[in-house]
Amino acid sequence: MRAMSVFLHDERAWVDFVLSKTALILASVVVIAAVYHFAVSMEHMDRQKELDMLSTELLSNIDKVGSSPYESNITYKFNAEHLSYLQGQQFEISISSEYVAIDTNIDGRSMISARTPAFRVYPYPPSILYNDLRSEYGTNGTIMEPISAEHKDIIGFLASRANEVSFDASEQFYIHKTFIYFADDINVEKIGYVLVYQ
Amino acid sequence: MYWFINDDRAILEPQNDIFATALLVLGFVVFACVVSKTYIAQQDSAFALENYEQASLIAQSIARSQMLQGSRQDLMSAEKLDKLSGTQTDPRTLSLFFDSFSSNVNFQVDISTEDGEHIWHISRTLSASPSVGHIAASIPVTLELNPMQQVPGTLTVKLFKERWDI
Repeated sequence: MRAMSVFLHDERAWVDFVLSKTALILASVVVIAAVYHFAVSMEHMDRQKELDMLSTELLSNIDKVGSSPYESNITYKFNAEHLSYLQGQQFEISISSEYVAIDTNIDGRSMISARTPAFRVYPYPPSILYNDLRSEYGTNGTIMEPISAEHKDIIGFLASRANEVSFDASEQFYIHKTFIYFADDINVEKIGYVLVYQ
Repeated sequence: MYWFINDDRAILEPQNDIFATALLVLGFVVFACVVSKTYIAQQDSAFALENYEQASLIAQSIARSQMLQGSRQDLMSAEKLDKLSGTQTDPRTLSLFFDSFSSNVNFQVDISTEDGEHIWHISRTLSASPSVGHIAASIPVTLELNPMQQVPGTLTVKLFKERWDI
C-alpha cells in the first residue's frame, strides 16, 4: 500500500517522459521503414519498366513483320547491355501463339513481363510448320500446295500444336512472315502467320 | 494573438518533438502521394505510346491487306468493305478478316470517306471481360467507291486492352 501511495504521489513525471520518448522512437522507426520501403519500391518499378521495354521491343519487331502484306524476314538480337538495372542479367524468353514473355530473377525476386502480339504467331521454323501441315492435311499450305480445309480448322490445329517455346536470349531471333494457302471448291485464300525461331 | 505569443506557461513545450514528428509524417505522406500521382501519369502515357504502335501497325496491315484491295494496290475497295460491314456482311469474310489477327487482340475498325458520306464499321463480338484501355490510331487511305471514283478517307483502329495486358 505504501509503495502504491509513493507511486501515486510521485510528481517527477518520468512515466510521461518514457511514454513520449518511446512513441517518438516508434514513430521514427515507422517513418524510416516507410522511406526505405518507398525507395526499394521505386527501384523495383524501374526494373519492371526496363523489362517491359525489352518485351515491347521484341513484340514490336514481331508485329512489324506481321503487318507486312508480303512474305518478309528480319533478324533480331536481344540486347539488355544498354540498360542500367538489367545489364548482365540472365533472361528466359518464352513465346507461344498467345504471348511473348520475358522473365528474369533479380536478387532472388522473379520478374516477368508479358505482351500479346497483334498477329498470329507460330514459334517454330518454316520447315516444322510445313511438316505439321503436311502431316495433318496432306499438303504443306504453300501457294503450290494449298490445303483443302477451312481456315478455322487450320488455326485450331496450329494453336493446338504451338506450345510455349523457350528461346536463348544470347542467340539471334529469326522473325519470318509467311502465308498459309487454303482452298475451297472455287477460291484460294491465305492467312498470315509470323514464325519466330532461332 | 498577443496573449498567445506572451503566454509563458509552456503548455506545448514538453510535446514539441511529437508535433515535429507528426509534421514529418504528414510531409512524407504528401510526398508519397505526389510521387504516386506522377508515376500513374507516366504509366498512362507509356501505355498509350506502347499500344499506339500496335494499333498503328494493325491499321497499316488492314490498309495494305489484299483482302480489301481495290483495282490498284494503294486503293481500298468499297465493295469489299461492304462485305465486312452493315447489312451485307458476309460472316465467312468477316471471320477470315479477324482471324488474320491474334484472338487476344480486340479491336474495331472504322473507315470513312473524308466528306463523311460513306462510313464502314468493322467489328467482331468482343469478349465478355471488360476492357480497360482504349487506344486509337488513324491513317489516311484512298477508297475506291467504284472504278470511276476514288476518294480520300481515314482508317481508324480502336484497340481495346484487357487489364492483364497493360
